Amino acid sequence: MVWRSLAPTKQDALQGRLKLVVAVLLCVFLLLWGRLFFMQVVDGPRYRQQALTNSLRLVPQRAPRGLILDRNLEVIASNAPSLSLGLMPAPLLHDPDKREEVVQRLAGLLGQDAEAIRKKLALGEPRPFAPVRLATDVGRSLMMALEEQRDQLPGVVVIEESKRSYPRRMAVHALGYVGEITEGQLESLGPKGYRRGDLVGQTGLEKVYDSVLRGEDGGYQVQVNAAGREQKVEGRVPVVPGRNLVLTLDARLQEAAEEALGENSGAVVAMDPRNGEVLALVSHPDYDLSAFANRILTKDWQALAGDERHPMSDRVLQGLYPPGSVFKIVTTAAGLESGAITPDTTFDCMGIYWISTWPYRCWKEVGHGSISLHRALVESCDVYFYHVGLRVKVDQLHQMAADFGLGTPTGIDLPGESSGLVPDARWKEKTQHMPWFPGNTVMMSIGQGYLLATPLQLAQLASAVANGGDIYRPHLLKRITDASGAVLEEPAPQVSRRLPCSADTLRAIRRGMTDAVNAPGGTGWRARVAGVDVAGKTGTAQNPHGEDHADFISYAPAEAPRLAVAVVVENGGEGGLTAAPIAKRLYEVYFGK
Amino acid sequence: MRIPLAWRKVDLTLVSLVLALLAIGLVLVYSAVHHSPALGHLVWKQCGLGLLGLAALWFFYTIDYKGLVQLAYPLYASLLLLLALVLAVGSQSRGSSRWFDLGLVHFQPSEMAKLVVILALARWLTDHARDASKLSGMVVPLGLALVPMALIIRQPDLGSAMTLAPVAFVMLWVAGARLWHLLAVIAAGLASTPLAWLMMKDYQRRRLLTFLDPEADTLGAGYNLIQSKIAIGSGGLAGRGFLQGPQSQLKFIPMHHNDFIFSVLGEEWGLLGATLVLGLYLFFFLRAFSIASQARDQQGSLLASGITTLVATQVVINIGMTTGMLPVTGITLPLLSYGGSSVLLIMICAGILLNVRRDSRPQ
Repeated sequence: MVWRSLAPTKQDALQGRLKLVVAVLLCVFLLLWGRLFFMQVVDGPRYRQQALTNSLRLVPQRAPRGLILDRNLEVIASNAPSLSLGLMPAPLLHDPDKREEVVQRLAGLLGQDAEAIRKKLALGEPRPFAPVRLATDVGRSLMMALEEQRDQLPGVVVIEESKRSYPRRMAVHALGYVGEITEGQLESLGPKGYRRGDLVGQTGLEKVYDSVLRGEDGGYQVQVNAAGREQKVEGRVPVVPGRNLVLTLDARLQEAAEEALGENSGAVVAMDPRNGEVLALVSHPDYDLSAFANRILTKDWQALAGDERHPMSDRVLQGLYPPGSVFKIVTTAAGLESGAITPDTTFDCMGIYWISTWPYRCWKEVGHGSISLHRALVESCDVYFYHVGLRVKVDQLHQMAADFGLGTPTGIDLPGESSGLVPDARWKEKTQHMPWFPGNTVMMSIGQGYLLATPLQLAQLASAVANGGDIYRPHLLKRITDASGAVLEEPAPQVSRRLPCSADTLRAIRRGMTDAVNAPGGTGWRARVAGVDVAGKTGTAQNPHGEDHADFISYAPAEAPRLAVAVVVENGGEGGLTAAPIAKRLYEVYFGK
Repeated sequence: MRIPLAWRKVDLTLVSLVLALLAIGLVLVYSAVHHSPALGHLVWKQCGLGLLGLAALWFFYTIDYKGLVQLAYPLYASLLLLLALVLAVGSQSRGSSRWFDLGLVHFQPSEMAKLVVILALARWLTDHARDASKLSGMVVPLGLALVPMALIIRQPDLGSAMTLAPVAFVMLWVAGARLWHLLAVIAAGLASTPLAWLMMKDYQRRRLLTFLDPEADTLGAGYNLIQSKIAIGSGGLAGRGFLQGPQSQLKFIPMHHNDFIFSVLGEEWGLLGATLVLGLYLFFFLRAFSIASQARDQQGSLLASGITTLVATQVVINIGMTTGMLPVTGITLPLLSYGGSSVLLIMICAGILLNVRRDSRPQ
C-alpha cells in the first residue's frame, strides 16, 4: 500500500496548478454565460418570434365550391363529403425505421406502390405539418382498417373534404369537371392565390367561373406539438364558401333534350331568342362527371380519350358540321338584300342544273318545276338556290354568312369554342392554292362544300331570324348568388350584332320556315306540334365519311318566338326525318303540349 | 445529543449544492414529461434514482477511498471486458450499442468507465509520481485513458469518450506534468483529427456537419439543435415560467427530458434561471477543487480533481451543445438530466469528493 503525504512545498505547487484549472473553468463558464446572455437577451425577441411561428400552424380548410343550379334553382352540381387519407411527415422525420414501417403498412392497406408513397412523403417534408394526400374518396372499410391500426400509424390523418356530386347526369360538357391544379395552371394561377393541391375547374362552366365558384379557403391556427397533435385552437380565418351559379339552363328541357337525342351522336341547343339564354345544350356521347369528382383513374381516362366517338369533345361548340340546306336562309337573305331576287322571283328546277359539263342535282330528282322563293324554302329546292347563289356571288354570300354570325365564335361563356368556317375566294386561294369556281358558289349556296358551323352558331342564327334580327350572345349564366340566395350579379343580355336585313327579307324567310313545318309538302312537317306554330328549316349535310348528318333549326311560336332549337344528328340522314322530331319533343315539353 | 462522527464531517455545502441541483433537475424533468402519458412516470423514477443516488453517495462517502484506488487495476480490467461485451451484445438504440438492460436501469458501462479511468489514473500517477514531469511518463497514463476511449468510440459514443480527454489532461497536470508536454500532446491529438473523421460513422459526421451549419437541414439532423436554440433564446431574461414554455411543452425538442433538459431550463426560467444553475455548478466546482487542493494525499487530490473535471466537462459540453456552441453529443447534464446511469455516477462522484474532504487536512 502506498501512502504519500503531501509535503508543504508540493501542497503549494498543487494549489498553483489547480488555480490555473479553476481559471480556465471560470473562463469557460464566462463564455457559456455570455452565450446565454446573447441568445436570451440580445437575440431573445428574434427567437421568441421563431418560437411563435414554430408552434402555431395554419390548418387549411377548403371552402366548399359553389353550387350550380338551373334557372328554377334545381341543383345540377353540389358537394358531397368525402374522406381523404393524408400522412403528415413530421412525426416520422427522425425515425427512419418507423417511417419505413408506416409506408409499408399503408402500401398494403391502400394497394399502392411503397416507392410512390415514399416519394410523395419526401416531397412533403419541407412542410412537415401539412398532410400529404395519399388517397382520396376513401371508403368505409378502409377507414375501419385504418382505425384498427391507428397506433401503428403515427402521422396518418383523415382529411374531411368535399367532392363534386351530381344529383342528375346532365349537361356534362357544359358543366365540365374539377381536378387538382396542374403544374402549368399553378404557374399562371399562382399569382391569383391558387395553391398546390387546389381543386380547379378544368373544363366547361367550372373552368370559366372558377373564381366565382371556388370561394376563399380559410383555416384555423393551432398550436401543434412535435408529434403534430393539435393542442389548442388559436384563431380562425373563416371559410368563405364559393358563390352559386344560377344558369339559364332549364333542367326539365335539358333532360327532355338528352332523352330525345338518345343514343345518337350529335348536339341539341335550345335558346331563348329574346335574350340569348341557353335553355338546353346536349352533346352526345358524353361521359360520367362523377368519375372526375376526385381523381379519375388512368385507365378510365385512357378509355375516354381513346374512344372513337370522342365523348370528351363538346359538339355544341366544337362540333363542325356543314350546315346543309339550313344555310338557304342565309342565301335567301343575301339574294333579297342584294336585289338579286325579290320574294316573287321564280326559277325552273328540272332536278338538275348544269354548269358547263358539271351537273348539280336537286334532292328531288324529278325537279320542282317552276318554283317561287317561298316554295323553294318550304320544299328546300336546291336548284332555286343555285340560281340565287350564282346571282349574288360568293363575296356577298360570305358577307351575309358572317353577318349571321357564322365563321366567328358566338362568345358563349364556355371555353374552347370553334369558329366554324365560311369560305371565300381568298380563303380557297390561300389554303387550297386553287381559284374559286362557280361550282363552289353553287355548293355553298345550299350549305355544302367548305362551309362549317357549330350547332351553337345554328341556334344563334335561328334566334336572330326569330327575334327580328338581333344576334344575342348565347350565355349560360343567369346570375351569381351567395349561399343565402341573394343576387350578387345578373349580367344583362348582350346583342353582339344586328342582321343587315330589312323587315321584308326576314318576313319572307320566316314565312318560308313556318310553312316548311306546317304547309303541305314542307320538309319539316315532323316538327309540327299541335297548338303551337313551329317554324323551321331542315338540312342534310353531306358527310364524306358515311351517312349524311341531319340538322334542323327552328323556333316557336312562329309569331312571337320564345324558344329556338338547333339539332344536329350525326349520320342521321335527312334532317326532316331524324332531326325535326327531336326539336318537336323539346317544343312539346317546353310549351306543355 | 451526539452527532455521529461520520455525519459531523460531511461537507454540508457540497451536499446542499448536490441536493439543490437534483431538486431543480426534478422540476425540469417534470416540466418536460408531465403531459406525456408515456413519459410521465419518469419523474417518479427520477425521484427514486435520486434516493438511490443518495445511498450510493453515502456508501462512497463512508468507504476508504484509498481502498478504492487500490482496486483500480482489477476494476480497469473488468471495465475493458465490459466495454468489449457491450459492443458484442448491448441493446441497440439509435444506431449504437451502449447499454446493458438490467431491468430497472439501463446500465451504461461508458458511465462507469469515466470513474474507473479516473481511479486507474490516480493509482498510476501516484505510483509513478517521479515520472510525472517527463514526457515518457505520460505514455502509460495516456494509454490508460485512450484504450477505453477507443472502445467507447466504437459503440459509438463519441461524446462520452471525449469527456475523458480533459479529465486525463487535468490529472496529468495536477500530478506535475509540464505544461508544454501537455500542449504538445493536445497539438498531436488535434493533428490526428482527420484520421478520426475517417473512423467516424455516417451519423457522427452528419452531427458534426450539422453543428457547423444547422440551418442547412432544418428538419433533419439540425432539428434538435435549432429547436433547442429557439427554446433557450425565446426564454429571454425571466423565462416563460414553469410549465409555460411552448417549445418544451409542445415536444418540439426530442429527448428534452435528458440530453436537452437545459433548453427547458432556458425557456421556462430564462437567463435568471440559467445563471442560477450555472452559479450552483460553479460553486460546486470551486468547492470541489478546493477539496482537491486540501486533500490529505496525492491520491485524494488526483481523485478529486479528476472527478471535478469530469463533471465540469459534462456540464460545459452539454450546455455548449444545447446553445449551439458545440456539436450535438449524447452527454447528459449532471444531476439535472433524467437518466439512471448518469445520476448514479454523479452521486458516486459526489460521495468520493465528500470522502476526500472528510480526510482532508485541517485548515
